[in-house]
This record gives sequence, structure tokens and C-alpha cells, in this order.
Amino acid sequence: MSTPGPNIRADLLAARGLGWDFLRRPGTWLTGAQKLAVAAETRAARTCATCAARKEALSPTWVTDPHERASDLPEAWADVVHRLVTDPSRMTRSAIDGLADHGLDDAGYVELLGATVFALGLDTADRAAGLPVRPLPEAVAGDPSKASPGQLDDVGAWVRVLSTKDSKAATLWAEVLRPTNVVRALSLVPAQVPTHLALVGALYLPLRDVPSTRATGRALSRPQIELVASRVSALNECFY
Amino acid sequence: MLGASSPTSDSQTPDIAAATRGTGEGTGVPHGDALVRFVNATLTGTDDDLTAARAALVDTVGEAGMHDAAGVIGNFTLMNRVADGTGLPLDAPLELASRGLRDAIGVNAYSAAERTRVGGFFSRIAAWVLARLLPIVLRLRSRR
Repeated sequence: MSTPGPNIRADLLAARGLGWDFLRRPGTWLTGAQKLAVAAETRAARTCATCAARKEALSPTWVTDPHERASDLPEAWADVVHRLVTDPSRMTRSAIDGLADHGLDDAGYVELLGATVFALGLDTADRAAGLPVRPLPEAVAGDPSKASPGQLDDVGAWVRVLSTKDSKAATLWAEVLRPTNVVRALSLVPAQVPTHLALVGALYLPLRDVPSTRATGRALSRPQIELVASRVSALNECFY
Repeated sequence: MLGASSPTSDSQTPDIAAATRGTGEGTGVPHGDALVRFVNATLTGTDDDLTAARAALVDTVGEAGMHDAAGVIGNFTLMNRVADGTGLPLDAPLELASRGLRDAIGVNAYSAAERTRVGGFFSRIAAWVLARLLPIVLRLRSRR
């Protein structure tokens, strides 16, 4: 493991800072401490024996042992975080429904998902690059805003997304002519959309550049970038 | 996405089926084998595997290229879970444009494929036309 050298892009370093700063602040439905607890669970999931057994089982529901935990989050929340990290392609709507009895509705789940994927994505990039595991930051105290998302659309996913007709849409997706489903997927919690897009823009490409066949400002060519993207998606068995 | 990026130049026409097989050989992408080895080591390898794959990648694409690749791995680790965690179906235009490619590389066998509704006769014709037009549109757009 090493510290970042001079050959790492400044925007890539800045995105890491932005992502972790977002995670430590109170959100819309979760506190900063809860979001960081989610991040801690994403790290625990990597070596969790229950997750490993589940991954091998024909059905993930056949293995019911408790997870190896790193926080005091409710077990149901931690179970979903561990599933998202280690067995995402077998995630189900019923797993999300099960959170309702533990204080998380669909919007709360989308914020839990956002915290999971932001932490996991940043940690994975660090691990790949040989950077040390970043200590979790101090949580900023405060209550979640509980802000209403606004006008919503059903695009056939398990959760609704912000409508492109909502007054916030033009600002949130100013970079793109027509946001695709995956760009809108976390928008049931609109406050996490700017961080989501900033991470994508730095780790991969800015959305406005995706339809092009070039990769301006990158050391890799666009085909090299897409080869890496395709291999990751194949290993994750991601259909999208 | 790999298919969409393929018209960049004749010397860099990647073979997406080769990319998904896992070795990186035969992809047509410069240093494809080192890039795929780096992805495999990050997501499924030991720390020693990753250290070796990272060093080999730095030797071929440089440290800046390795950091770019690490970022892309982080991004798609994130985005794959956004899609799977929300039960997201493919957008209709994307479904049409990628239908042939999905058949070719076998992703229709993934359990998550059930979430995307596939159309009938007329959508198959639209998919056929779109698959031929899309590379031309992307190539023209990139020249601007």
C-alpha cells in the first residue's frame, strides 16, 4: 500500500474527498453516523463468513446465520448492505420490503443503497490503486432533513425515481439531454444525486462525454476504459 | 458500452465477447490482457495477485493509466449495484440498441435480465436498424 503519487488526477482525488464528506453528513432519512455505519458494514461484508456461505448457496435465503458485524445498525439493515456488497445480482424486492418493519421505507432504502455503493466504490478504487484503507471520518451531528422528493416516475424499477418534469430535474441532470434509468436510479433521494454524478464523472467519465467515443483527459483510451467496465460488469453478472 | 466505443479506430476494435470471457486476450484493445488481469485481481484475487497485476499494468499503461483503471473499477462496482439494488430494467432505447450484443455475450442468462421486457416483431426490426445506425452516429458525433 502507498500514498497517492503525482500521477493521480486531481479530480479523482477530489471526488474521493467529496464522497466521504457526503457520507459523514446528515442525509434525508439517515444520520451521518448511520451512513458511516453503513460504510463500516460494506467493509465487514468483504470477509463475512455468512456472506461467503450465501454466495455459494442455491438461494441466499437458505443461509440465515448472523453476519460478521462492524456497527450497531439493525440486523435487517446490515443484512441488506451485506447482500448488496457480496451478492448484488440476487437482490430482491422482498428484501427491500422487509426493511419497512425496521424503520426504512423505499426512500430510506435508497439512501441506504446510496451510502453502500458510494463507500464500496471508493474503497474498491483505493484497493485497486494500492492506496491504504481510509479511516472512517467523524460523523457530523444533526437530524436527517426528511425532505419530500417531489414529483416521481415509475420506470418499472423496484423504487420510484424523480420525474424529469420535477422542478429539480433540470438542475440535477443539467449535464445530460435525457437521463437514463441508471442515472435516475438513486433520485428518490434527490440530495444524493449530485454526489452520485460527481463520483461517476471522476471515476469513469462525465455524463456529457459518455455518448462520445473518446475519453478526454484520461490516460487510458475509451476502448481500454470500456474493456475494464465490461469486465467488472461481467464479474458482477450485471445485466444493465 | 464496449460495443458503443468500438468505432474509435480500426486498430482498436474491441471484441466484447473476448472481454467477458475473462483473459483479455483477443479483445483487440492495447494492453487488454493486463487491464483484464487487473480487474480480475481487484475483484476476485488475493492481495498478492493484485500487487502483481498492478505492477504489470503500471509497466504497460503507466501509473496514471493504472489510476484511471482503478477508478473505472470503483465506478462500475458502484453502478452495477445501483442497477441491481433498484431492480432497474434497461431503458427501451438501450434495450433495442444492445439486443444483439446481449445475445452475443450471454448476459440474457443473468437472473436480472428478467426485469427487462423484450418486445416483439417490430421491436426486433427496430433493434436491427438501430444496431447498424448507432456506430455511425457515434462516429460522426465524435468527429465534431
